[in-house]
Amino acid sequence: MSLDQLIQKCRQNDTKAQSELYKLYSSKLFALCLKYCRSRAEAEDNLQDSFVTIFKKISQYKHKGSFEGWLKRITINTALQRYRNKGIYEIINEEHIEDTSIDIDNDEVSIDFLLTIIQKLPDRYRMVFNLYALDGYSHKEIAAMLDITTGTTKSNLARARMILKDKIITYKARLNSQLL
Amino acid sequence: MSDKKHIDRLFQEKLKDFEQSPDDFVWKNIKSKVHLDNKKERKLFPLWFRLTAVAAVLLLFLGLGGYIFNKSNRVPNKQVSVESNNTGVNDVIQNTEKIIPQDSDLSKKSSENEVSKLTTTHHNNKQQLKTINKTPSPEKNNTIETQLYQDPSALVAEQSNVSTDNNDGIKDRLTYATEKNSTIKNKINTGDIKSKELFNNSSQKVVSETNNSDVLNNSIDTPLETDNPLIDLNEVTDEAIVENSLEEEDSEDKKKKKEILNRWKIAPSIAPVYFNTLGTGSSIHEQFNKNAKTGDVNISYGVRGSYALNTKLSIRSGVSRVTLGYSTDDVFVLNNVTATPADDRFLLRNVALKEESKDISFISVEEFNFAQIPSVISNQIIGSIDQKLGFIEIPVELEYELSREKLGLRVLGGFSALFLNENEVYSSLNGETLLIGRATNINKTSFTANFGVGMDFRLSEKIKLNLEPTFKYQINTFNNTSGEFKPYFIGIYSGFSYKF
Repeated sequence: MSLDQLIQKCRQNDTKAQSELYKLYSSKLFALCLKYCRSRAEAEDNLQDSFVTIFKKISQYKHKGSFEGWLKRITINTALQRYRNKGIYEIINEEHIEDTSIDIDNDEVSIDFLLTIIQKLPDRYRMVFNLYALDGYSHKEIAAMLDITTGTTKSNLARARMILKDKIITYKARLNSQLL
Repeated sequence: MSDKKHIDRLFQEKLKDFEQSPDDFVWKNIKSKVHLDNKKERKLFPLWFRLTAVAAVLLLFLGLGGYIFNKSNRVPNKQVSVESNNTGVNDVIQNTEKIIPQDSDLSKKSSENEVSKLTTTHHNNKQQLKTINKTPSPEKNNTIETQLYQDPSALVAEQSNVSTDNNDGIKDRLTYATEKNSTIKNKINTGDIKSKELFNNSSQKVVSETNNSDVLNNSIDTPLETDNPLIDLNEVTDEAIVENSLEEEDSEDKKKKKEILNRWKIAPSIAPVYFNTLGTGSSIHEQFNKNAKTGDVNISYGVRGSYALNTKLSIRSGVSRVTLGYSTDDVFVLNNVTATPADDRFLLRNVALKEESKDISFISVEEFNFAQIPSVISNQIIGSIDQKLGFIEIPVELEYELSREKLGLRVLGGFSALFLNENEVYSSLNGETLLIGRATNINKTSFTANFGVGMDFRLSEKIKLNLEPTFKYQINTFNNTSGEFKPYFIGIYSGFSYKF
């Protein structure tokens, strides 16, 4: 069955087709959820909500853009909705931003570790970091999506980078001391 | 080996192809939730019942001669083909989008899949793509780029061919499609495309080889600035999605508007109606409770009008004439038997006999011991009591459309008010029928609860043939019945409807 046929069947609420679609995309979208949520459990919740929305709104997709892009967009929006208006964030002066380059080898850190430290970021820092660094949105777009100013998104991003860097450095230090 | 790198880069590299399967229960939850939501949507229906029960629309039209088939109306067809053309062109764009970020690892299979979606008029594209895929040279990337950029122009060329061959309508649509095509291209190119290196290879070639697309030239000249390859074409896709939904809404609005213009429908119908009763009982006298009853088949005819509340739900009303009848069998019809008037056992309690029929007695066979009566005689005197009733029926029903294909399906439910206008009781013996009086226990006004299924066959935009088997359960038609007398009738209503 082609993707188009699958989509068509999902529109008719065909359970088998929905299951097929889920199998095709759930791992990719779940990875996305893991990045945008605080924990695995919340990521599972978010994935669930996203798919419910996807199946409900699938008739609004008309094969013009990439289907996967559409699915990702819905998943991200669901996560944004989930953490909207939670917590207050300090705005730091951009002058204070340190160099966020880091001396590290890819093999030194695991995906799981990186994922955990992303998940532990305060909600909005996590959103901004994901959107900007990992999913390629611009500050202007992020500002519009989160209903904040670009100044705030830039500040949030810088703060997120600093937190992440600190955690990686601590992790590395601990790793080294264990080796010694 | 450690090296200094930007923290974003570290995360990007590590999480680039990250995928993880969720636990099984997630799918179970989704499934049950989607299922539940569907159910909820269906439950909205009874709400409409309440909202619309107040409204009753009554229509009576006579003389339905002037219906004209309106075959010139082709608007919906046009819309459809515009869309299909768009998707065709957009698929090409999708191809470009997909191929660019993926570099050369586009497999033959996937691109053919994509291409197969194009309409047959775009055959050339397919051929082009096929040949591209077969060339194994290192220049593959470039060629693909170029070819794909040429695609739109190829389309334009083809489109103009078609337009000369055929009518103006197609031309319009195609130019429309091309316009769309170029606007989207514009976006792709003038927007925030940042994957400079991906474009660089091809751009020179494109400039030199395609000279007919201003849009392309413009875009290639535009300086490509930043260094973030991730913000590539996803944005365009998203924009396209937003545009998509806007367009869809537009066309849906148009369709709706069109339907709203045709909210009214009128439908004359005629039906054979079969009357009978559930349970054992009699409307005439308790002595006949156990007698066999035979339902008659009569005719109902009338006209109804309906008003569409939305695309699925209509409320309808009308007026029709319905005749019902049934026979109580196995009755001794005895003339001049000296039954004392006081002996009410042999009288028809719920029938007012005419003067000349006063001396006829009716006794259920059940009351007799058959051994006492020779069969020669019994054949002569066993007859039936036939009851004939006529009503004017005014229904108020809701109709819910399940399918609106050429062959449509709908369910309907509602009530009818019955106004008695004919009431006769006959005795029937040896083929002779005699009017003996009228029933005294029939209410002037009574009701029925109606359930039915409707099928229709669309002859044209406005005219449909209908067939509606309907079950009508009678409420409060008879007083003073004995036993379990639960009358109902079934009608197979057929006719045609006209939308306006």
